Amino acid sequence: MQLTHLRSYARPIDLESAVELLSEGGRGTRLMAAGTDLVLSGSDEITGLVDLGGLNLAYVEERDGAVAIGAMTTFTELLEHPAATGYLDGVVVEMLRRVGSPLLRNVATVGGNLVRKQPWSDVIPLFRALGASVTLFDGDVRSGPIDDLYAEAAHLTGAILTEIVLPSQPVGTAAAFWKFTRSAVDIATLNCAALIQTEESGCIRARVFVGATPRLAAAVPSAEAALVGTDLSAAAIATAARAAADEVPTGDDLRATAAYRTRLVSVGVTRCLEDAKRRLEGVTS
Amino acid sequence: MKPTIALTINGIQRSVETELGETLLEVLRREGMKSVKLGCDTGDCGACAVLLDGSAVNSCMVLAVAADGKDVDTVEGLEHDGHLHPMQQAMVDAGAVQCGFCTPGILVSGIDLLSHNPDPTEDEVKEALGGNLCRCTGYVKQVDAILATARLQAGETDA
Ligand SMILES: Cc1cc2nc3c(=O)[nH]c(=O)nc-3n(C[C@H](O)[C@H](O)[C@H](O)COP(=O)(O)OP(=O)(O)OC[C@H]3O[C@@H](n4cnc5c(N)ncnc54)[C@H](O)[C@@H]3O)c2cc1C
Ligand code: FES
Ligand code: FES
Repeated sequence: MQLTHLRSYARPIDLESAVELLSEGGRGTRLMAAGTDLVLSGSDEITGLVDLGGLNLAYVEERDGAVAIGAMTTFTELLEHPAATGYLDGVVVEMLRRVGSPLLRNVATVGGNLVRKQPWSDVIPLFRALGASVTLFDGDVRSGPIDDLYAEAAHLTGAILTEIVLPSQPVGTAAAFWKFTRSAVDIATLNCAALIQTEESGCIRARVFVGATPRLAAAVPSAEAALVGTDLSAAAIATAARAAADEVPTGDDLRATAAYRTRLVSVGVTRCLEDAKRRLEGVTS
Repeated sequence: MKPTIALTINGIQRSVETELGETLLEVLRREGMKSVKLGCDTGDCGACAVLLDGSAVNSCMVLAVAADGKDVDTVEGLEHDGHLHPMQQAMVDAGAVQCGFCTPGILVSGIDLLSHNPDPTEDEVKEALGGNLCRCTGYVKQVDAILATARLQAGETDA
């Protein structure tokens, strides 16, 4: 594939110039991370590229239990980093190993995936379930919850995603990721991520996201509500899974029908919650 | 504008003229690296895999200008003094090559794997080959060949 209409390419070395080049470039100018999506799109609309590769945004750092991830970090760099391996029993690594193949993971970036908002993204449901925060630069530095990127009216025009932070999680918290595919490296037919936080009294916080429905991952408030206050028994998990299957709108595409996806919602939510619970028991026993 | 980029291809520095919107795959083939195959052009098959600064990537998804200043290694650089690289020889010995279209990409993925994991399990080899499609064989022999190379290289370092 080629970007046949590409007329300008720049690789700035500071954020201010990157933002300037982007706004001067006008309509056809895009920010580029690894460029996998941009190149494969072969889009005639792309006339200029501002490569973010010179900005030193590829890093992973542990910060008091939180994990800071530069937006240009590749999937491989993140999944091989001890901070990711050690975070909530390696749930991030578990998810990343299901993203494409090593040939993709060695180049594609975390930031590119989050910004591109492909409905089958595996990163988005997990990072949202974990309650990540993001930092953007558009001349000013802005930080906020990752959910803001996916709010109805959100648009990133002119801003660079610079950093993602996975927060430090309280004791008694566990998370899990589940992905259903037709083959080992296919994109998701459906995916699911969950986080549960417990105290003596039982579950005090739950986050459940379902994606590739075939729309972009969204929270499932009815399932979350069904879990809080319970002891996460098999019955409580079954109730949450039923609530999710009732609530999540599904649709047809070449990978599956809506009805099949609705069955998957229930299976995925159940498996995620069971896995998260197993992890909690592993830690506390 | 036709930019010129610097690529170190199989250890030799070259100045290469590109079109702005070209992929690394197209540039490498024009430079004579015909082991780099154009299969799907959608990032799915791995026939175009090369080592970019030591990591296996699909060259169809990488813009050539973005690779300026980097090292690229292809299968053309594997043979030394008329001798195949041990993994190439192992692929021949295992009968892992049929039409051969996928073979360069599989070698690239296999070499990347052994460079950071010299003693992989069978499952690790399979995961490393996750992005390499082969339409002819059943993958078993390629996995065998990579495991055999790892054993051979371990033997050499023990000796
Ligand atoms: C064969 C194949 C298989 C795949 N399988 C999966 C899978 O299983 N699961 C999954 O989740 N994904 C999958 N993907 C998608 C893949 O994860 C994305 O292609 C990748 O993450 C994009 O990253 P990039 O660095 O190449 O982004 P680019 O192509 O460089 O950019 C993507 C978009 O984001 C913008 N952008 C990039 N970085 C920033 C930034 N820092 N700030 C602001 N804007 C930015 C760009 O302008 C562009 O619009 C697959 C892709 C391929 C090709
Ligand atoms: S040609 Fe690049 S992955 Fe198929
Ligand atoms: S040997 Fe023919 S595609 Fe693999």
